[in-house]
Amino acid sequence: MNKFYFILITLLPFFGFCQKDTGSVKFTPTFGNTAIEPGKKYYSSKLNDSLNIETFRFYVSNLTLLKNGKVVYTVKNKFHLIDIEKKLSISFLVKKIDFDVIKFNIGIDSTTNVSGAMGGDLDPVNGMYWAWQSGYINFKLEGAGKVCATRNNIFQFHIGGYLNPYATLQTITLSLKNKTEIDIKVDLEKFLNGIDLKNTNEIMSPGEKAVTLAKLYQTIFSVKE
Amino acid sequence: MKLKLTRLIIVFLFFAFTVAEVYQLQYPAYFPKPVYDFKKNPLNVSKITLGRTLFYDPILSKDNNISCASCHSSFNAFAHTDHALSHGINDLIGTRNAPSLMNLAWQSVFMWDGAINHLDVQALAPISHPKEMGEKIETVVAKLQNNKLYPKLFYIAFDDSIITGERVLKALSQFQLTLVSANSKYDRVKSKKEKFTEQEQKGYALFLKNCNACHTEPLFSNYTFANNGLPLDTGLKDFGKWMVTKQSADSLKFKIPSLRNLSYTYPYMHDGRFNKLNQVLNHYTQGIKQGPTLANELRNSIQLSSDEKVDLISFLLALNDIDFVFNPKHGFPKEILLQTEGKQK
Repeated sequence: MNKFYFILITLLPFFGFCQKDTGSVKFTPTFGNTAIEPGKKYYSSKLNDSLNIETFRFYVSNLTLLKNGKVVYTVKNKFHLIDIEKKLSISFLVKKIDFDVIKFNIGIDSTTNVSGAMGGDLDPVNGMYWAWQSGYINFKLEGAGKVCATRNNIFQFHIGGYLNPYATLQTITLSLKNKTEIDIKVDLEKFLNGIDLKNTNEIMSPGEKAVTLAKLYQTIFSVKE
Repeated sequence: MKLKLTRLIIVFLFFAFTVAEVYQLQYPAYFPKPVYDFKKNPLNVSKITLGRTLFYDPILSKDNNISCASCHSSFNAFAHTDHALSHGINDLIGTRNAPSLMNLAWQSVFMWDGAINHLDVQALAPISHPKEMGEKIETVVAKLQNNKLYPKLFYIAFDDSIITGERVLKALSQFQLTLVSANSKYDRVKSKKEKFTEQEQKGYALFLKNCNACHTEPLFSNYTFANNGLPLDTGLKDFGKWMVTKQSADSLKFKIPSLRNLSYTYPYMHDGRFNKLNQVLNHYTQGIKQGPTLANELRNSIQLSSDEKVDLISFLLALNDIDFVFNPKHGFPKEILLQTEGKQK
């Protein structure tokens, strides 16, 4: 009996080694082609203003890999909080598989939004939950620029909302070459250039404007080859 | 052999301990099924104790002065008498009347405007509101983690002294879920232990005819939202559910409250505008303001003679549940919180 266990234990890492491999998805927040460091200023020629980014967080959920339109791998952990200051990568165990598309959601689905208190990346202590009106903030971007006529020139976008007609969950589908280290660029210059920042700089509740901004950030994700 | 026996005893003790910890929610057979999903947060004696301690501890507020119980006291059926509007840190006054907390396991949407979609996340609203407790949940978690008492209580409840937002909220839910009011005279009549007086019986008939559509027995609310014809308070400008959904059909709609324990929960209505039950009845007979979102049930005014009003009130008073209000298990946990009196960090 003991012998059997001994053999099993000896072989275990070997099985693991044979069958599994690690993969990762790394998100790189950029301003155009420059990787963003929080607090640093970045010049937008369109806005003719230098902007800085203080906070940038968003939820990635239901991450899957596809081949010819079929799901070949689903990342086990359903929800991941990406935070420019804390965590930019999602690691997972994946068998050596062939895939040509990565698909994921930005935000938290409606069922999870009505399921009460949750832990880990979904814990309300992460500052991604609205206290006064239940629901997750799917995407949070805060910074400053002179173009904003607000106190300390700040802009704040807390985008969320799970109920129709103001649901904000977005699906991102990107084609890519088959590799296990996937690098995704998140271009915040494209997002900020798409907003009339002078007049739209504080969106912090669900509604029509939040939906417009969610559709806008749906377009800022691209695969870095 | 001896070793085996010891093992068996340990296993037995473990199970005995676990079973003793499980808390079974008690409610009458004529109550509907609770809507709270207990599978995701199974009731357990030590979690309830932890939740009760948190509920009574002002550590949840920014200045350590206001607890949940400040506005939801057990002897007011967990409402707040003498204050029409909620009263928070630095004597700040809110915009709505603190509602009674009871039979929460049968409710799925919370607050007068329905802004909260689950009991577990309800506490986040008063904790963070600048006119209530004015504190961030992440700061609450840090304060509890650095406190002498709480890591121990969390260890007992969750087998782990690490405090998280999820655990704080689930423990608060656990205590609040045990606040079941189901032993009023109405309940004793329902279970054939007592009989209504003649006047209460008449009042019951009037209630069924005029009130039960919205304040549906046995919980005495259907927990939906309605415009009950209150003229808008032009100072507060509170449009209720509209402020959450931005849909004009929801304008002036507020959550229908239960009619249990009315003697303890005055003043009445979302803004506490009425102090007495006869003012409430007079509103329904004479005060209804017509409008596009007014409840259909109130479009034709309710007719009640003054004798009928007295009968109806006598029935409503039969919904008072003294056992609920004075249940020592619902009160301040002095055996836990007074231990640290004067030396709390």
